[in-house]
Amino acid sequence: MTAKDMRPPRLAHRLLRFFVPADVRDSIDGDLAELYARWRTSHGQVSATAWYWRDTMSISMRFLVDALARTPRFIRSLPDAVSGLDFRLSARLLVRNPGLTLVAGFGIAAAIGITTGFFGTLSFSVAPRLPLEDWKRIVALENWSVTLNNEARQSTQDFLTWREQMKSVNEISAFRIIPAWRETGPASTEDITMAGMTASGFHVARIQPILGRVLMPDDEVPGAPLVLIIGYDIWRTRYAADSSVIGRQARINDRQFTIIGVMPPRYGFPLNHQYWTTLLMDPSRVERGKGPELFVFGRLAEGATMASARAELAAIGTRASLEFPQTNGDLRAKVYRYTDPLLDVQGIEWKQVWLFQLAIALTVIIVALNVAILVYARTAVRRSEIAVRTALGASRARIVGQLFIEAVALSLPPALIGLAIAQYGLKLGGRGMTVSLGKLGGVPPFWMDTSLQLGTAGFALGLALVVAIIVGVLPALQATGRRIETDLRQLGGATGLRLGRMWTVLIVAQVAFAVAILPPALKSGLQAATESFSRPTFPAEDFLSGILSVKRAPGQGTQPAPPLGARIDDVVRNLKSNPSIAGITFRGGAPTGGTWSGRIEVDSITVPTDIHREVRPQGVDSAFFTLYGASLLGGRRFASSDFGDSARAVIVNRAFVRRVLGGRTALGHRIRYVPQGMSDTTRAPRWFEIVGVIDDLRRNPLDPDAIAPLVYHPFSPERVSAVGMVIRTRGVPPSTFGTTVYHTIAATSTDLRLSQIAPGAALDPEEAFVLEIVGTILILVLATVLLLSAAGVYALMSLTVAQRRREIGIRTALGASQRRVMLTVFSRIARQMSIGVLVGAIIATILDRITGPVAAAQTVLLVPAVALLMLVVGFCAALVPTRRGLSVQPVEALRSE
Amino acid sequence: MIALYSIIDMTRHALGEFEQLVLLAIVHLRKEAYGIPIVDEIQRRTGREVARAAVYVTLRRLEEKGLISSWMGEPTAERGGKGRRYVSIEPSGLRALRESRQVSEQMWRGLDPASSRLR
Repeated sequence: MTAKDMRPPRLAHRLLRFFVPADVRDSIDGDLAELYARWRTSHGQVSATAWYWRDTMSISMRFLVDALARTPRFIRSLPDAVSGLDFRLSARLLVRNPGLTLVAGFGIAAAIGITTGFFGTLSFSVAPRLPLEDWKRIVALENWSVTLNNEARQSTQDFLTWREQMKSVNEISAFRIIPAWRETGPASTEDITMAGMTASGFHVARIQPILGRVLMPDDEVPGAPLVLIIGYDIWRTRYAADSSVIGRQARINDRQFTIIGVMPPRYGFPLNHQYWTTLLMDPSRVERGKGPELFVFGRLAEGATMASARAELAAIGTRASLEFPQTNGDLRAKVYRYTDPLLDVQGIEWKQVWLFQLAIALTVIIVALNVAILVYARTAVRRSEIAVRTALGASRARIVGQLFIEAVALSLPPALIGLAIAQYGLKLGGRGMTVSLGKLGGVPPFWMDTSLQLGTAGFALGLALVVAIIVGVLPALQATGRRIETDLRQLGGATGLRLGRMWTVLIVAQVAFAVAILPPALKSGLQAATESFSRPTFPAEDFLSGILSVKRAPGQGTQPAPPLGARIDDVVRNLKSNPSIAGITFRGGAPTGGTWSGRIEVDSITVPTDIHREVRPQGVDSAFFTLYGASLLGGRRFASSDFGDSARAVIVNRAFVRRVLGGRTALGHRIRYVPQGMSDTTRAPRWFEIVGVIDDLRRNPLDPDAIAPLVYHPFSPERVSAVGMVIRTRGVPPSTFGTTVYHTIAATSTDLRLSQIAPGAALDPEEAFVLEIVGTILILVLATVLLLSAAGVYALMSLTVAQRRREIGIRTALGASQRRVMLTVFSRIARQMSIGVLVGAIIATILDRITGPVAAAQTVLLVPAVALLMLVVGFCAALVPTRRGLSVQPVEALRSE
Repeated sequence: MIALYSIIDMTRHALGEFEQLVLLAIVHLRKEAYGIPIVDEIQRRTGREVARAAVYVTLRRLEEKGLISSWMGEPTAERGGKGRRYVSIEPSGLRALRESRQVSEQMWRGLDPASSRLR
């Protein structure tokens, strides 16, 4: 039996060496090897292998537990472990190492800022906490269309059924968002958003008014006087906090309302409202599946759970599906957290959210580990100082405490900067969410508070503490964990730096993280930043936009508003009589309606899967392309015959031809929109034919693919009750022209109003500034993380090779060629880096499967680039110390040995 | 170096039962005490199975307390090129053992091991 045969199982051996501390590792390894050989001889290989595994696991776990058990003693000894002198020394060290201080500080500030900001944004944009009593028991009820894979909120009849039959949810209420205007003076109005809500809705919130009363069931009786409840801010600003405001009249939507109550400060329930009135419903006049969009909510009954409520509502919904198959056949009644339908996160893939959240949190850890490596390099140089202090009586806790204080001094100031970054990011995130969610109308929801919260500050400081533990305690434990005589013996010798296996693992983990996580994150940041460089090809400064709608009083309840009809022609005629107006165009809904989330099909062409979500159907009238100066690249513009019900003509832009059709000839191709989740395409909507190609109305010099592929549908504004209106001015600033336009429309018809007037072309709803800032910040932060990763790898590689300088000199003295020596050094580095790259590639592959093919397609170039960067850094880090080692005179090397 | 080393304060620690067993095994084995025979010695004298992991952790802890000291033997091929870590008891370790025995005897004083109260 050869010596090789007598070696213990390799994997178990590696486990043993991983978990056993360095100072006793070799001896225990040797003991088990000795015993394994005896077992092999006496009991055979199988028995010996089983024994070896058993003892290895036992020893490994015991040392792990022992390591964990030591921690509480260290924490208890902390008060004795620090002194005021430590803080002064720490400050001095930071000043004496400006490079480390700046690099580490910047990285820590960025990582803590990003992590804190992201968690804070999640808290109000995905899973917010409501400032209401027992808020977790407030739930939303909603129909979900399986066919359209979207909510179906036109559910007046179902709301009444749920209210009547549900036992596990009490006080079932409903509200709808009513765009309104309030007369503030002669010929002046202000846009407001009113909540038409059932009386029970106020009981769900359980907040009493500060004046007057809330809605009562008697207010909902048909023919009852119109009543109004106002918010605290309105009471202060419009009514000078007049305590006799109750009973006063307010004119809204050309109707008189009596003020009956004033709500307390910061009350905006159910969404972001400052005006409330009754939700009048006449079910006999509303067909099932039609009517206004209602948000239904209630409180879980005593003893009921979300699961029981869901089961009960599902059963009620099933009965409705069977009873009304035409309207309810594809609907599924569901119970959600209250805010889910308001934030449109019902279908959210929580695993992706938590995964992204974890990845964000890992940023802090990886930055901390990077800084820890840089700090450890400094700590290792101070080993002689640490050994002397220990010999003079300093306890391990005392030394670790000092290093911990140094780490706190390094991480606390950046943490405060990071907190400021997070606050800025929270405000940005809040604004972005308010803008992107159309139902908010630009007003933040009542639960959103972007001011500095105690919890947010605590979170950031907690992160700083975690960073300080990683940066200060881990290296300190490693540096003080050796036996004293070893350190003392080496006091008179060279710096025989011994870096534990833990740091090798950290190097591999660091490289793996950089390869797996940074590329997709960098790509996202680059994408956001490049998209912000999109600029219009037309003079956007000459445009003015707004919403033209038919006035509608809340008292009309659930009846649909009348269409604009012939009023449109009157508006256009009157506006064009003004010489300052160069043109008017109207934009409206496309056949997809609302927010498109399906896929687009093109006959005989396979559309790339990452393009579906970017295609934007738009409805435009005949004047649109002329007003924007869009060049016709092929085919024709819309003719009058295209605006009929049976017309199927569409026009696409250049980006559509390039990105969807792959540059093929567009004319004659047919497209259609297939809702998400629909697999039976025989029921899919109709085909549309491409009759023309228009040049892009935006340009992006950095990324042509940042321009969205657009499909223009013919749109007739006469048929709808509200439409987007865009005016091109001539010779006057649009910002001063809005009032003129407003009064012209008011004079044209008392039934019309123009709201949300703003300069700009309103062509793209996205806020470019948000993209630009978010993208820039993301790139800066990720570049910092990448640089820190590279710096950490460089520092540790330099140290490990420097440690072997004497060995290199000795080997050269013994006759090894320089080439061979360098090969030995670099082969070890290559092994470590390659393992890290391989692990990172595996993680990247797993993440790609989770996030979908979109991320994979975009990061295929960045992953090898980051991997190559890490390899280059590792080799560069090894080059200088290796060459220094080769320059050592053999005699000198032998003498020092 | 030795002078510096001797300055280190050897604090007195109360011994746990297993620590006593390990120290006594080291005393019995004299100069040949290392991991494997320590485990064997305890098992032979107590007649009960001993977890090898517990012995190693205890040895490490005893050395940190300064009650034993250790040195590395020559590496051998049988041990995969690793040497044995021999241990010997320090005077403080002997003191701790004596004190533990005294404490135990004081607690036993006045009690009959064969008494029915102890059954």
